[in-house]
Amino acid sequence: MKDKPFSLVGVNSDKVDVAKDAIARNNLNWRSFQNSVEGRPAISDDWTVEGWPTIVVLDAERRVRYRGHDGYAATDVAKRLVEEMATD
Amino acid sequence: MNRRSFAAWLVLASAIPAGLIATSATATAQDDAPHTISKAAQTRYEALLAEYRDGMSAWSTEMSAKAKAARNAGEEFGDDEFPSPLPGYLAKFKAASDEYAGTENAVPFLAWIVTSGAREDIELARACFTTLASTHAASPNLDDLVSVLPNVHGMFGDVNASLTALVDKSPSKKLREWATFARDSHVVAAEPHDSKAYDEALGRLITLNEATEDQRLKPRLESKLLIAESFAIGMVAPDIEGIDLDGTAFKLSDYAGKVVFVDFWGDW
Repeated sequence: MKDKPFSLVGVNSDKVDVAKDAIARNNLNWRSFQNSVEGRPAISDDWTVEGWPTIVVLDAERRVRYRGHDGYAATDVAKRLVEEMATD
Repeated sequence: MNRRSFAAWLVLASAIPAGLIATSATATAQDDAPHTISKAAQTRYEALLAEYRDGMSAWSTEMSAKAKAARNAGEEFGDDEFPSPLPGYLAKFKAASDEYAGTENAVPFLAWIVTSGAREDIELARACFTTLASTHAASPNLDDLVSVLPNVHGMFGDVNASLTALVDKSPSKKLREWATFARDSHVVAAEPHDSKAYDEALGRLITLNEATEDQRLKPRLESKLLIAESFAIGMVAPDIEGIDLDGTAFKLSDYAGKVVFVDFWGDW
């Protein structure tokens, strides 16, 4: 999806050092929000996340196009949206 | 459905008698089909269940001991070196359900395969779930299915036709409520927020939330209603303003104009 109008954004629930270790170990290249920051509600609470991992696919207008736990289904939706943008 | 119409649904729901959810029970109460499990079948089921529990417990204890011994000896120990006896028990429950096929006696064996056998043979469990819904939905002996309903779509895919059969025919209020929850929470998660299917399913969930006295179901319902209110297909998601793992502030709206794959993840 490089060079396409697509971004992967994480929301990570780990302590920062644990998350950074996982990123280095697994060669992950996406930017992540810290889910819990002192003094703020957790993002997962604001987004009513019921189980981890949860994936939400948003279109270019930030409208929800997929929400669930199936990475393959989410990927298919994201690919289709990017293809639709290319043909518009 | 926007917030205003959602509020209207709440008002409407509060005006609906709590007994509405039980409407389908009237029809099933008139069902004259026999729903009695024979003593022989019940005894066979209980004996098989005890055999399964004892066998799995012994296997688990022995596997833990073998794994510990291997660790102490500095050797590797894979699960496949000491396979689970579950497939053997599954075959016995399946044989009994085949023998009693079409009768009430098959119900406990089929229900066990759905609730305990899915981790071994998901296709068989799905087929048994479908059989229970298509042939035995009016049975009073299906409450064990409640344990799989919160995740039934994750396990079996789209089984809404089976869930509708349970909603329409089960004499068990508990099962009807959980089947309604499973079916309609799936619909509100999958259908566009401005569709008729979404509106109807959301209305049923709100009605159920008003009517149910099931304290395990209620928090799940409320969570699904919150998600349906703000994260249904087609709704604009709220922005996120936070910090990344280096402490640098950024926003979800920084990615406007792009398809964004938001992954709630962790290193588990």
